[in-house]
Amino acid sequence: MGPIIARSVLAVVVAPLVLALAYHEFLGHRSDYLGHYLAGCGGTMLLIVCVLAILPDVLYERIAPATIVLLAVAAIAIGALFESTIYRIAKFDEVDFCNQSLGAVLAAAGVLLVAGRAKPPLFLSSGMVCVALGLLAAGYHYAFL
Amino acid sequence: MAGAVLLLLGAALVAGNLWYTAARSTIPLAIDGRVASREIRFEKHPGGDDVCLLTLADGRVLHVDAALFTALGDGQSLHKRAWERTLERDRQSLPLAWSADAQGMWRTMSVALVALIVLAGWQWTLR
Repeated sequence: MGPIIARSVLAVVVAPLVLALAYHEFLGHRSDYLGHYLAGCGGTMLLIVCVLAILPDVLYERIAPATIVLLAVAAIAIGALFESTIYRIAKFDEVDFCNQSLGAVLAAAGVLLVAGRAKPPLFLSSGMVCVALGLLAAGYHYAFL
Repeated sequence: MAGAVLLLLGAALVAGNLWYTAARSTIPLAIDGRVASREIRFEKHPGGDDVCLLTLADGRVLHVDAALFTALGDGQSLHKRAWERTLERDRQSLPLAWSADAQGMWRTMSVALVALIVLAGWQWTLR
C-alpha cells in the first residue's frame, strides 16, 4: 500500500503544486494565469475521479487509460465553452484557455499514474476528490479575488 | 499510449502559451497597416489583466502588451517584418521588448514541460 500512496502524493499533489509554485514565482503579477491553471487541474481531476469510480470492475483495466484521456479532452472542451461564454469578460483569452487546459492535462497525467491500471481504493479516490476541491477553491481565489 | 497522448497535448498547450504571450509583444508578427482604432477592455483585475486591442485599417485585430499599446496612437502607420525587434511607427523606429508575461511564461512553461515529461516517463516505466 505504501508505494501507491507515495505515487499518488507525488503524481496528484506534488507535481501540480510544483507547477503552481512556478506560476506564482515567475508570473506572480498575473495571478489569473495561476487561477486558470489551478481551476483546470482541480475540475478535471474531480471529473476523472468521479467517472472512474463508476466504471465496471471487469472492464476497468482495459478502458481506464483511454477514459482518462477522453475525459481530459472533454474537460478542455468544457473549459473552452466556459471561456467563450460565461467567462468571456473582455474576449476569449487564448492564454487563459491554454493555462486551464494545461492544468487539465497535468491532472489527467497524474491520475493516470495512480488509477490507470487498477481501480484505486476508496480512501485514495476520496483523497483525490479532496485535492481536486482544494485546487478548485485555490483557482477561484487566484482567478477572481 | 495514453501517457504519450497527454504529453503531446501538454506540449501543444505549452507551445500555445509561449506563442500567444510572445505575439502580444508583436515581435514574432509581420505588420503592415494603419491603426484604425485602439481599445482597452477590462478583465477580472482592472489594471492588471486588461486586454489592449489594436484594430488595423484592414480589419486585423492585434491583442498587444499594455506598454506597446500606450506607445501607439490612432491613425499611425505601422510596419515591421516577422521577428524584427523594432516597429516602424510613422517612419520612426520603436524598439520592442519581450514583456514580463512572455519572460515569465518561458520559465513557467519550462517547468510544465519537465513535469509532463517526468509524469509520462514514469507512466512508461510502469507498463
